[in-house]
Amino acid sequence: MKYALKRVFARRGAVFYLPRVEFKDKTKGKYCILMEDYANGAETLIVVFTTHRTRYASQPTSVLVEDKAIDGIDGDTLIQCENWREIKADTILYDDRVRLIGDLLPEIMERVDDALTHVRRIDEAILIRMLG
Amino acid sequence: MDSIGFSPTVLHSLMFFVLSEMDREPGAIELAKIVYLIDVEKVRLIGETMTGESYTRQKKGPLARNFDSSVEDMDGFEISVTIAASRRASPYPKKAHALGGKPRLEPSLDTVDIVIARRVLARVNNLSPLEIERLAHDTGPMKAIVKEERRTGKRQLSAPIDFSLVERNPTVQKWRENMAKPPEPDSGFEAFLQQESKEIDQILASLE
Repeated sequence: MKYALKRVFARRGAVFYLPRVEFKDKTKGKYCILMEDYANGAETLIVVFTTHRTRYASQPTSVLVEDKAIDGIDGDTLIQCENWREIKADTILYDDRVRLIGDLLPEIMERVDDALTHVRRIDEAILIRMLG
Repeated sequence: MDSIGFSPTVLHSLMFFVLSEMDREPGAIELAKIVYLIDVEKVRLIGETMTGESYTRQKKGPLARNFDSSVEDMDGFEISVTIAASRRASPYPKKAHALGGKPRLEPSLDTVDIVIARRVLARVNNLSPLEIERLAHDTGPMKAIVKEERRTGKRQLSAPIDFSLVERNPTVQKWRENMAKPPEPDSGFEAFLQQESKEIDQILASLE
């Protein structure tokens, strides 16, 4: 995907795939949800990671998304809001290995917003960056 | 005003910060609207304004009571006010506000205020002054005044801006309430998080 187009789609709720490239067990990479719109010149972006390990789906910081509810991701997916990261915007925007998958539905983002209110390992300033 | 008589307020600091982040020199109305939108955004997220200023409805929209005097305080020091051509199609020159060469203060906003100000600046950065003015008119307090003006057929110049009419995002408030509660008992969740976290760090390291 051309970088300019990737920048346009780098909005809150966009889903990206980050490959895991150098491990012997060949585990798949991880999907993450972009939690803030990309603004020109921004050096970092906040993302929340997902997992296919759904055992802790009942935790208040978890959002369970059922199979096929996210375009491009097969199987039930757990969005775990404690697993947020501030990563370099260049990683999302300019690394060809990082793929844009699609967008989360607004109703799922509403559930994510609710889950964010339970996240303990976070500064208020980061939380505010994550809000729509 | 020399540095001896200058007592900086949050409004001073905010204007200084805004100008230090902008890549253009806004006119007075544009700068005033950006400051207002930042106050509205803080009310929306946190429930209080950043500047603590009171605002009134003026011809061109909401204006902090101390806006003009604060610009005057900083002119020649933190701010340089010059006459310049307007952006886009307007034939009228404007007062352009740029960073001044003799600052007596450092931008002293706290981290949360910087994040909130940057949220607004990212939103208005590519907008024309007119579009920024429209954005200010599209806020709850201004819409209430305009509605009243339509009802009475009279402009409500100098009417106070009521920030309680800003629609709140409850997330931060709920988060604060939840953080005041004791954490849920751990049942292996912490270990799960650490495992996930380790994998995420490995992935990110491999992308660097």
